[in-house]
This record gives sequence, C-alpha cells and structure tokens, in this order.
Amino acid sequence: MTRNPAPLRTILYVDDEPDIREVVHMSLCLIEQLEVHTCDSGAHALELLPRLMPDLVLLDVMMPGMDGPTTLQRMRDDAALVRIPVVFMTAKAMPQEVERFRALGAVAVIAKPFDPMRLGQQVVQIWEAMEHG
Amino acid sequence: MTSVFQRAARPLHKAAAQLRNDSGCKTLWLGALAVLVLMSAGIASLATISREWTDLRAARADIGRVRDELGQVQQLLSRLQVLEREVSDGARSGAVQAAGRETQNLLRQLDSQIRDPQARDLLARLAAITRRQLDLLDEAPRQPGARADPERLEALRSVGDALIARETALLGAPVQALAERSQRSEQLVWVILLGTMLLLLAAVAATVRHVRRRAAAEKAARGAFSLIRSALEAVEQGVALFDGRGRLLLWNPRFCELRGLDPSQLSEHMPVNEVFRLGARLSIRLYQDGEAQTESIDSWQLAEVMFARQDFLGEASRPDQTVLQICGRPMATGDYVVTYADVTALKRSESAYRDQAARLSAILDHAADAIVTINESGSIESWSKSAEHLFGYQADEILQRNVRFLMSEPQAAAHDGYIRRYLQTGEPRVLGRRREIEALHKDGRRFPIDLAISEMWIGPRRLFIGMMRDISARREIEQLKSTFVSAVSHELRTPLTSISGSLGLLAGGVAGALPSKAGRLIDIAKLNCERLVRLINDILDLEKAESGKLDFRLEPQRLKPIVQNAIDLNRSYAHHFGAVIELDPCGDDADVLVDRDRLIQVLTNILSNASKFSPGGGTIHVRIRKDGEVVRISVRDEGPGIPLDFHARVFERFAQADSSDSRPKSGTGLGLSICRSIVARLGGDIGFESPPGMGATFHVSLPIYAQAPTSSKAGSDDP
Repeated sequence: MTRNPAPLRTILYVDDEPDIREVVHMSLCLIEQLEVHTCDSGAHALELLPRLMPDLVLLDVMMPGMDGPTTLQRMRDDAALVRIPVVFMTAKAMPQEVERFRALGAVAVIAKPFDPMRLGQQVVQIWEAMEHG
Repeated sequence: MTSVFQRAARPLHKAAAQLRNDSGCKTLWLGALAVLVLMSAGIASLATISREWTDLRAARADIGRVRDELGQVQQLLSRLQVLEREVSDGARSGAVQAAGRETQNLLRQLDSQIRDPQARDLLARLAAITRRQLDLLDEAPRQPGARADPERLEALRSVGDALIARETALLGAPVQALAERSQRSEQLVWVILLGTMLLLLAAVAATVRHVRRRAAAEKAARGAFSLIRSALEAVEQGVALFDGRGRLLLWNPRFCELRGLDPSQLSEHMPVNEVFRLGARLSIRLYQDGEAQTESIDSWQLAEVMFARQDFLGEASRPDQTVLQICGRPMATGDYVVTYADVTALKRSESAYRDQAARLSAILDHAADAIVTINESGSIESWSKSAEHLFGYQADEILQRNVRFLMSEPQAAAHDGYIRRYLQTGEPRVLGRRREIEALHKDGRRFPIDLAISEMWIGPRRLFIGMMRDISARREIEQLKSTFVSAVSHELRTPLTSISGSLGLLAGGVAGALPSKAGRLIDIAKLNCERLVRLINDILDLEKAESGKLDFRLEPQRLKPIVQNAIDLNRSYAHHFGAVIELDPCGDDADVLVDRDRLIQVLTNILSNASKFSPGGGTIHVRIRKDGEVVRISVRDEGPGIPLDFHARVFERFAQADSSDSRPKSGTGLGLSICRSIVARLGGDIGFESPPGMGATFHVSLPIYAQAPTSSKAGSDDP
C-alpha cells in the first residue's frame, strides 16, 4: 500500500436530504483547500461527474429514484468515471452490509449519524489510505 | 373356539384313520384268503383221500380173493393127497369116488375163480393129473392092490407146489401195492395236516394282530375323545357339537352356563330345537359384512341356518342384558359346532370407548389447530375438521395418502427421507420443535404454517402427530411490523443525522464561540441525540434478532482473542467511568462456533454495563472457564449489584433498574434483551448472579466446538 502522493482536492457529496447536505458541506469545509460539491440525486451526480471529475465521491445509500449502489454501478459502467473512488454514507452500518458495499466497489463506508467535527479528517484518512497505482 | 375344538379332535381323527387304514384291511383279507385256501385244500385232500381209500379197498379185495383162491388150492391139494392116500391104502371104492368128485368140484370151482393165465394153466395140468388119477381109481377096484404111481404123485406135488407158488406170487403184488399205497396216503395226510396247521396258525396270528391294533386305535380314540372333553371343560367359550341331523353330541359346562341351561336337562342326541327351547330366550342379530343386522331373529331361525349348513356369526342378548357372541360352523365330518362367548364387558368398554372417541374427535375437530396423524410410512391416518378447513381436503380424500401431498417442494421430496432417517438414527430433527414451513392447499396455493410434530405409540405402532396452524396473517403482521420499524428508523434517523450534525458543528465552535450556558445546553442536546440514535439502532437490532433476520456468519474460532478484542474496544469507555477491565490470565480457552462481530456486540454490552455500574477505581474481572461441554465467559464488576426485585426483569425490553439513579447511564434498556437473542442463536446461555452488595457477575456460556460436530447447534435452518 502506497500513501497517496496527491492531496485530496475535490469531493462530491450526493444526498437527497438538503439539511444533511448542508451539515456535511459545513463539516467537510473544515478541511482547508478541499473543494466540496453537493447534489441531490444519483442521476444528477452522473450528470455532474464528467464535468467535475472530483477526486472522491461520497454517496448516500438510500435515495429515492436512483440509490447509492445503482449510482456506483453506473459510474463503474462509464469508462470516464470508472476510476473515481466512492465512499458510502449510510445508516445501515451492519458489518454484513458494509461488506456488501465494499464488494460493490466502495472504498469505505461511513456510518450515519457521523461526528461532524471529525468527518473531514475521516475522509482525508480514507483518501490517504487508498491504494493508488 | 372352533379351532380349539378341531385341535382337540385331531387325535380322534388320527385314531379313526388308523381304524380305517389299509393294513387292518389287508390282515382281514389275508385271513379270508387263508380260510379260502384252507377250504379248497381240504376239499382237494378229501378227494385224494377218498380216492386212496377206494384204491385201498380194491387192493384189499384182491388180496382176499387171492387168499381164498390160495386156501381153496391148498384145500384141493390136501384133498388130492387124502385121495392119494386112500387110493394107496386101498380104501373102499365108494369113498374114493366121493373124494374124487369132491376134488373135481373144487377144481371146477377154482377154474371159475382163477383168472391168472399161468395159474389156470397149472390148474389145468392139475385137473389133468387128477382126472387120470380118478381114471386109475375107476379101474382100481377091479385091480385091488394097484398102487399109486409114484411119478404121478411127484407130478401132482410139483404142479401143486407150482400152483401154490404162483398163487403166493399173485398174492404178493396186491399186498405190496397195498403197502405202498398206505404209506403214500399217510404222507399226504401229514402234509395236508401240517399245511392246514400252518395256515391256521398264520390266520390266528393275523387276526390277533388286527384285533390288537384295533384295540390300540380304539384306546387312542377314547383318549382323544376324553382330551376333547377336558379341553372343552377348560375353555372360556360355551361349545356344543350337533350331528348332521341336529342332535346334540357334545357340550361343555360353559355352554350350559351361557345358554342358561341346567346340565341335567341335557342328554346326548337331544334335538337342537329342544336344546334351544330349554335354554334362555335369546334375541339374536347376525353379522353381515362385519355389521350386526338391525333385525333380530329367534333361536329356531338359528337352527334353520344350522340345518342349511351355513356359517354364522352374530350377537345374542339374554334377557339379563348379558351379550353373547355366537358363532356356528359346519364341520367336514358333517357335524356342526356352535360356540358362545360372553362379550358383555367387551361391549360395555367398546361403547365407553366409542363415547370417548366421539368426545375426543369433537375436541379435535373444534381445536383451532389442524391435527393430523401419520404413520411411519408417512400416510395420513387421521384428519381433523380444522385440517379440512386449512388444506381444503375432506378426510375421505386425503386419508391413507402420503403427507407429501400437503407440502410444497423441496420439503415434499425430502419428507420420506426425514422419517426414514429418524427411524434409523432415532435422532429427532423436527420432533418437539415448532417450525414454520410452506404448505400446499388443495387448490395449489402455497401458504405458511406453523408445525409442531410429536411422537405417539399405540401398542407397537408409532404415529406422528402434527399440529398446524395457518400463519399467513401472522406473517403479514410481522412483515408489516418489520417494514414499519425499518421505515420509522430510517425516517427518524434522517432528521437525527441533521440534528446531531448541526449540534456537533455548533459544539465544535464552527459557528463561533458559544456562551457557556448555551454550550452546556448544546452538549445536553448532543448527548441525548446520540442516545436517541443508539435507541433506534437497538430497536432495529432487536427487531431483526427476534424475527430471525439477523445475519450470522458462524465460524469455528478461538474464544480468547475475541474476548480480548471486546475488552480492548471497551477499555476507553470503562476508563471514562474510572474503571479498569482485567482478563484473568489463568483462564482457559476453547474453540467456539460463533459470529465474531455478534459475540463482540454481546460482550460490549455486558462490559459497558459493568463500566457504568463500576465505582471509581473499580476493576471489571473477565474470566474464561471451561465447564464440561461448554465454555463460560464471566464479567464481574465491583458495583452495587442488581436489586433483588429487578432480577426477574433484567433481560426484559426497556428494563432499567433504577430510573431515579442520579448517574446518567444513557442506556436504551434493550441491550441485554438483544444479547439474550444473540446468545440463544449461538446455542448458548446468558445469565447473572448478584449477591447483595457483592457486585454483579454476568456470564455467557457457549458450546465448545468439537472437530466433527454431529449436528450444527445453532444458526442452521436445516430441519
């Protein structure tokens, strides 16, 4: 495992709940130099992604319309987006579920409710711990 | 009864057969033949003997005749000599002439008698000599002193001797023949006599033998007959034997007793109608196809059945309410046997049994659960009314069919195997457990049922009783509850995430520094928000644990590292309460089949409880100890212990010992309830001890995992 040489710069957070989006946005913004984008649905995210090309995507699991895992699957089917790492945020943080999400291709799972003061750090730690090659 | 009778009659039949058998007959025939041979031999020998006698008489007549001849010849010769002497002595001529005439008379007489030619020849010569002699004598008176011629005398002597010799020879032949004949006759008579004696002896011996055999057979017959009599006296049934003409031959005391007869009234050869008339009046109902007919008949009608030489079986009631079972059967010998058995007690218990069965079946039919019994081969033996409602089959459609018809695949295919395996191994996999399976309605619809199977022995037969109830409604409610709980938790959690996030940011000073009172209030709000989240998580866990939806990944593994891990995870939490957790280094270790995360969840719950109730500076002692086939993890704190009145409710939901406790414990009251569900799924036990003032000890016991487990103890859904 090699430490990621490039720092985390851009991140897209996808959640249908505007309040949570706002709280997450504020939490992540506690990390300096991090450019945080949010959107309200998987479909919207798939529209934004080719343009934004963020370093990391934070995906809520349970969303109306297209849920987190489906959004992830679409990204994996798209050659341009296939390499963008995805972290799930979910209230369903049972060990078996965590494993299922990992199997879908998520690099990590963050449980909801989260500690807003530590969320940014948590994401950076995940980014730095990721295998890059 | 008839069979007993027949068994007893067997020696009698045997004896009778012996009496009839061929060897006896043969002896008689031989005797008769011997007598016949004797008679013909007698007749033959009588003919022979009479013929012999005739011959003998003839021989004797011959001898007599020849003897007469011989006598006359001798007389003739002596006459001739007398004549000769008188002539020589010069006797008076008159006397000589008289002698001469006498001699000639004798010669003539002889001549008519003698037939033998040689003798006749000699006689002729003798006559010639005599004639000459007489001629001489005629001359002699004239020539006195004439002497007899010596030559002539000589001739006369020699011819006379020859004649005597001839006659003697003639006499010898019949005497010889007579002697031979007599000897032969004697021998013949002896032979016949001996043969007759021998034949007589043989006939006597054969007769004696035959008579002896007959006597032995008769004795055997008498023995068999007395055997039948004593057997009949001993039997519980009343038995009467009638001959082909319906006359009483044989009966036993029990017959008199059951038939209401005085034994002195009965006599041999009494007609059946008379016997029936003397006995108690019976109301008889004959069986037809195993069912008693409704119409009853009289004894005399029964006698008609007997005369028709038909079998009968029926029930007869006496005026005193005694019920008899009567049975009649014609015998091959032409006799007819009637047996009577007292079935009053049987009938009474039968009717009691029928009442009871009716009551039971009414209960079964009105039970809410469908109750079905099957036998060892899986075919259905009873089917309650509720089962008819549940499955749509009427009893007559489904009885004797295999219980597989009521199941959907794959249980249907596997069911025979289940029974077979159980019968072979005796290892119950479904007995005594309630389980939920899918059943198949007559109309093809599948529906969930709750099934409990138990085993029942009726004599040597083993039956399985299945009690079933439709749980579709319950399933729907469960589903509804589950959906509701998860929907509610999600809906609750979403705003809570926003609230806790916002409070977290506020408390973290993201929105700027807060006045101290505001900071304290934000802290309170944040802590309670966290508590609410835990509560929701616990409710979800509990709901899953109780509905069996909690996923378990069972793997055999060492217990100690898991316990150590749980301790490490809770160390800082304990520290927060000023407590220290210590694992007893002298403890044991064992392999267990568990889901690591679930076990840590349980231990965390217990350890955090212990932490919360530990006094400042207290120690929480954790120990692993093997005990037979289980391994036990004990967590002992040095706190105040559990109040006695709360012991019974420790594992209940939302149970917390003391709501007025000044220390904030921030529990949900669901933790131990979840622990109990999880430990139960792991096949273990959870419990506690809390002697007053000695702290509390919680322990979790788990089965030790053996290398080759005979059956999985927990978490397996295999029936």
